[in-house]
Amino acid sequence: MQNSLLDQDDLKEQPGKRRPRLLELHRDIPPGIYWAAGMGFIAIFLLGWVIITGLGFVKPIFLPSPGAVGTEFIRQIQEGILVKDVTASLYRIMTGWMISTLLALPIGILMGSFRFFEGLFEPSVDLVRYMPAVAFVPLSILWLGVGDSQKFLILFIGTFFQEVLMIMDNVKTVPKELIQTSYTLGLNKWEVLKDVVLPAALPGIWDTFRITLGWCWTYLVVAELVAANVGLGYRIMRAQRFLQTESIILGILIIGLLGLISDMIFKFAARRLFTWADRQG
Amino acid sequence: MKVEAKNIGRVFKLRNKQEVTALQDFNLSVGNNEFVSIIGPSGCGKSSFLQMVAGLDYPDRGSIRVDGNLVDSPGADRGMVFQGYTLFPWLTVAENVKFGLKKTQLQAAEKEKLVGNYIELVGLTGFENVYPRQLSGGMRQRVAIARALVGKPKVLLMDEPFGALDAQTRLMMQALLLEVWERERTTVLFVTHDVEEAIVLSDRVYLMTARPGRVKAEVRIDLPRPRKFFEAEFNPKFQSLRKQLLELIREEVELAFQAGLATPNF
Repeated sequence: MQNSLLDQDDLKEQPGKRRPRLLELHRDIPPGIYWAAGMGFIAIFLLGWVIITGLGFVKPIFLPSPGAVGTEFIRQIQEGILVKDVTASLYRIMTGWMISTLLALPIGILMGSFRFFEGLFEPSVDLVRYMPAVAFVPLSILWLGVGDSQKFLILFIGTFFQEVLMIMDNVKTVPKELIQTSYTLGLNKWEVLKDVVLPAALPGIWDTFRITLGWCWTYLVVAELVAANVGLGYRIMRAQRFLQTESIILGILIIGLLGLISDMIFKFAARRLFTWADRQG
Repeated sequence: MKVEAKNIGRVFKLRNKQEVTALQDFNLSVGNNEFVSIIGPSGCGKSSFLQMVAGLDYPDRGSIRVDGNLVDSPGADRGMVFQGYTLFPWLTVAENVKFGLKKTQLQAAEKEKLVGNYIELVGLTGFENVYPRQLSGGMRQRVAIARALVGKPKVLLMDEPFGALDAQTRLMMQALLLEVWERERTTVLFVTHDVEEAIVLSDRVYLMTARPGRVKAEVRIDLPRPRKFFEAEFNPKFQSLRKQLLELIREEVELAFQAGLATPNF
């Protein structure tokens, strides 16, 4: 029994010898250790950054010190650049994601519910979703000019085709027996769709929203690659031209942070909205 | 007759283009306020038949009538309880039961009253505002039964409703169903492979052959009602019926076993 996975056995046979086990397959560990590990990893990373730059192992032009990035952060706030950039980028991301979602939701639901619509749309969606969004940048400028609508289009191309398939899958996971039961309670197929399939699929769809909005953040730089004069992605592209490494790193960190915040908002809302569900991610 | 199935035939086409005859010349009838069970070996088509009565599947041959009307689609006049858990997880117990009244024209107050009555009938008073995930398997099936009964269907179809429950819970559920049925007297068509369950609950039992499913025997269960669930099995008549049915079913199970009939995934 020495290698038993069961705590109880260990306790019975070797009292007092039980150590916390951190590396067991799929086993829970104390939450304190869980969080400390994550924070510690970031701390080590930052420490490494401080040491490497502080001791002059690399030139600031390749990797500026955290202090330099902090100074850049303060400068951008003082000059009002950061607020303008964040506002512009947020607006583009929210609009691009909304357009994508408003189309992906009904089409995804139809595809997940009716084999006909799956057959109708899936081949084309599969084809387009492997096309790189970056490659559409020149075309998008040609079609829509240099305004915000061109940025919406790039974000849309980057998100929609994946989102629609994910929503289709969310809808398909609704158990068949739930649908059959609803029929035997007298509902017609549209009522089943509205009153059963939709609410049953909603937690999964919500998670798709969370993930696809995250993708929008990663597509931001692509969207602001050319023909922009404000925005977080634009700031990074501009800094590249003048080799302002600290500005690039600041931009990357801020995009990462905002992405994380939007992710957490969705997770938090899910916990409030779907109290009935077994588990939230 | 409440339910009348005549010469039902059903052939399933498998993906490899093989054909499986699930039912052949299957005849069955259920009288008003009668509790009828269908027992048979796995894969004999008993669940498929129930699906047809519910209108969720259709026979290739023959006809099914409920109250004289030809069945061609699902409807609230045929309530159904499945083996798996089918409660709507985003609705509370009371809301789940109330879902069974969606297609009725009752006043809101009337609905609330009915919902309360049926929750009481299945012994879940006090659990009205609880979500399904907080309930045990037996409790979930009790809600499913209340939800199926509250709309007063002409016939209640039950497809191995206690099959997924542990042995003790199953006994409690059988006792509860017996009690509920003797009070409500809803016409019930019950599918099971549990011989004791069929005897203790039913007025009549149909025994099916191995695939293709046909009626092998029809046995009247003339145990007096009201029945006391935990005493029924000591009745000598119960014992002789059990022996009779078990012998009949064993022949079919062996046939099915020898033929290597696995249940194909339709």
